[in-house]
Amino acid sequence: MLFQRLLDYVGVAPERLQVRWISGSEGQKFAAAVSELAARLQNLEPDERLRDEP
Amino acid sequence: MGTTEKIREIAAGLLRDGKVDVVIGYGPGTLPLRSTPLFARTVEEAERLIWDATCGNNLAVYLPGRKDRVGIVVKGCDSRAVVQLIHENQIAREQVFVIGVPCAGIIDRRQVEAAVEREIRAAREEGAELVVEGDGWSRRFNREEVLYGACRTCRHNNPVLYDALAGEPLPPRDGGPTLVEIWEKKPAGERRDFILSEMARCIRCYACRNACPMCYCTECFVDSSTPRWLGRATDAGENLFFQIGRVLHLAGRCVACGACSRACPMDIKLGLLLGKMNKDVLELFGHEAGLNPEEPPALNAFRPDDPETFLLGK
Repeated sequence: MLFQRLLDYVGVAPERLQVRWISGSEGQKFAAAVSELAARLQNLEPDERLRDEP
Repeated sequence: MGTTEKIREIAAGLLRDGKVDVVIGYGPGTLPLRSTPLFARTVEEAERLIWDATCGNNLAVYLPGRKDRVGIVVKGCDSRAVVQLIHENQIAREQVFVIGVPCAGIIDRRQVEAAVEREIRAAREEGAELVVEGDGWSRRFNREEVLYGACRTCRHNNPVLYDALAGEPLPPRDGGPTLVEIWEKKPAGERRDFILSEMARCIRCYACRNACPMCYCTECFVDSSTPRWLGRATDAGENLFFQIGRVLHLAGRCVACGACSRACPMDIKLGLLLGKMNKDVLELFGHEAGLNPEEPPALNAFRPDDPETFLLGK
């Protein structure tokens, strides 16, 4: 929560970070959360600004 | 009696009576506008202690893991660091004799040096003014105008914890908006460009980490080689990653003393990131680090009304 706000502040899109509370017995929920994040990330352009010299 | 004399008297008394093994305070620096940490172990050494507006170091950095009994000279912000370190079991309350100093702000020597553009040979305070002198010239500054940013917007200038106070408590300050309040209002793109340009100047000397009383880990994540959390390159992205990593580790622990910014040789405005974290912790958890010896740090305590958006994923 704090990290997401910090990332948003420094200019990293908050949708790049996902935090969920998932129990060891909730395999399906875990798979769904990871798939959802992966799908979301694939739709985003790479953030080149954080790789190269500005 | 001035604050310097008062500190010397308290320190000498503690050492003479054997109440502490060492008093950690400030001594005169070798250059004008600078002071240096001073470890006084005898009554004679205590005579060299000083207090003035250049005593910027947060001496609480020397506390974690100590086994001896220490007297320590603290400003408002430093006292919060002592409280936080006691919370974190880095030092026991009984080990520390806290000599509190109400602080009127620390002078940013870089601002003064930039303004005079000449070699400063001497500096002294005269009331609300700072007088600096060189070869055949002298110049007066309004003390308030050459303080560090963190000092100008400081809201806790009086020590929150002390066993003896060297001086009268000062009225609380109201220094106007902080760096974070200013930058939060600006467009995200502009803020991002500014933060990245600040980060691009970082040389990764880790002086910020070493000056920080809360950065006492024996192995820092930046030094770890297995796993290697981040690269050694000093480009804006890696530097930003280091800084946000440090900020995250200081969540709910940073006492906003500004020691990191003062230690930074590149004069990077680190308060820009740490201030943001402190502001968010206050907003979400209603807590400021090290203000109350009775209250546990924000991220160490669970309260039923804590925000927990991550549980439901919304």
